[in-house]
Amino acid sequence: MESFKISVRAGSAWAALFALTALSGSAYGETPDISGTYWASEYQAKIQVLGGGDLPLTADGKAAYEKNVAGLKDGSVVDSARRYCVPDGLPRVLATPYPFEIFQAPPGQITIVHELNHQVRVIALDQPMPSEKELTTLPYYNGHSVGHFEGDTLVVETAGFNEKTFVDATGAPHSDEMRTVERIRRVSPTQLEDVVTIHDPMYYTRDWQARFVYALRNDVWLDDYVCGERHRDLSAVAGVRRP
Amino acid sequence: MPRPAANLTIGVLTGAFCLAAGSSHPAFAQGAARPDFAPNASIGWYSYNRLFIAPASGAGPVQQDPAHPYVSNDEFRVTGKQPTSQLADLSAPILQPWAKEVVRKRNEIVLSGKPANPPWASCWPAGVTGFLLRPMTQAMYFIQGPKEVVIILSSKQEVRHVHLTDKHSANVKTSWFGESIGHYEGDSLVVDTIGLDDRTWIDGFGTPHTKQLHIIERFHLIEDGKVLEANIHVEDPGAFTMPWDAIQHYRQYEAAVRAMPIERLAQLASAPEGPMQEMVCADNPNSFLPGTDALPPPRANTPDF
Repeated sequence: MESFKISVRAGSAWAALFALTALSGSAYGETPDISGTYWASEYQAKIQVLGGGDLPLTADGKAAYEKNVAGLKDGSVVDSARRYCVPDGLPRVLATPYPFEIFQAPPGQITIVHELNHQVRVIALDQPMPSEKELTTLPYYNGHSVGHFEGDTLVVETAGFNEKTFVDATGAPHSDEMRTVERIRRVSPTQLEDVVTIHDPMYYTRDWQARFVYALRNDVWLDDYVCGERHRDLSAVAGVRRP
Repeated sequence: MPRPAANLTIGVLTGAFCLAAGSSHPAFAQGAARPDFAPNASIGWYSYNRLFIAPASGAGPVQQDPAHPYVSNDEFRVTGKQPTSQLADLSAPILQPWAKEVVRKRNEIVLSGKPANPPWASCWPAGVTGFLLRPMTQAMYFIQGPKEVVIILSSKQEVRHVHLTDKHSANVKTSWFGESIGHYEGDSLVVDTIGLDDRTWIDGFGTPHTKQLHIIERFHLIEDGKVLEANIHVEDPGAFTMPWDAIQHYRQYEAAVRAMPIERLAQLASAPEGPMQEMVCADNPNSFLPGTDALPPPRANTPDF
């Protein structure tokens, strides 16, 4: 009788363990599958703070924002991402109304390929953030990213941004000291969520988040993107204003 | 004893179901046998050769005029030899008369002492064959997904998408990079591209083409995995008198510099080996080749959205 009870528990324990592996994908260190082609179904030029409210700007942040807005209006500040198609930077690129792809390749890297401006984000898996020296010597439009999986979520830390990008299309500012953390995961079999935390004490009084959701669209093939040329029809993306 | 056996069976069956459900998992897909051009994130490929290699036999690419040997900028940095421009050998039998005339006009610009700049010099796409000639100082990277291979030139974040499927789309719109489909065949990745518009240069000589251009590339590793060979087959009945073939070789950084017959390696302009860096062509859009015939860099006069 004793040995029968132990066997029953062992059998159900194995079944439970296998089930856990399938559900979480990480019980034995297997990584979740977040790869695919994704496309947002809505676009917002002004980034929406999770929880509502205005951007929590410091005095310097407010001044920088006003300067950007005025400059964009009178032409003294150029929106290079739209004029010359340089990368949008973070978090602005997360609002892209164009599709993008996530590849879990090569080994040790996640590669995100955007249709917009054919920009590419490289995320080094399970690596330390590059040194401050490297980050300040070679700042990137989209920053330097390192990531790791926590259960079903890819956590991406990014730092080493240049100062040539805006937080959003309205010209919200960031400094070169901004650091971001994204938590990226499938929230359903057909949707991916990216919740980004912005940390930039020079311009913002506190860390704040924004949330972006994308539909899985493996039926879509990314197009070429050359600045100034006609691109794909975005009429299915709510909120896109076509000039 | 039946009950423990039954529990064990349930455990095994549940496990088998979970394993089956997880078979589309990236780990399983990557375990399938196929050539691996990116076993880790630091593998980038350099060509150190701006000119295609002619095939052993049969029609080959346009080549440098032997009266004007080609000296690259990298060779200059190390040997001090005066760099020269690419200047086509107009006796190339593959060129139809109109194509030969286009190349001749470009040669004249070069002979007059002015640079004749390819579109990619001012951030326009390189097209397919041009792409293969580009990764000299900055590497080319492969991203091998289960349904698509993406090939990236790090120098301008130029991206080619190769969809692992056996049929082109019914109505292919022409574009700078065309539509590429591919499949693995033994040790090779075979890529078939159509739908290239006619704005790209086939090579650094300015060899033109039409929208009938059809390119088949075969990528495979040779020399014990040390060299990536691209065998390129080009057809364009609108520009060429016959189909022709070309070869390009790539090595990983250390091997590429070792293969160069030069002494002062530190003088090379190359990026070191390592994961792909972010390099943006239009970073300074005002600096492009003023006073030459270069196209202005692409720009949007009204915002795209």
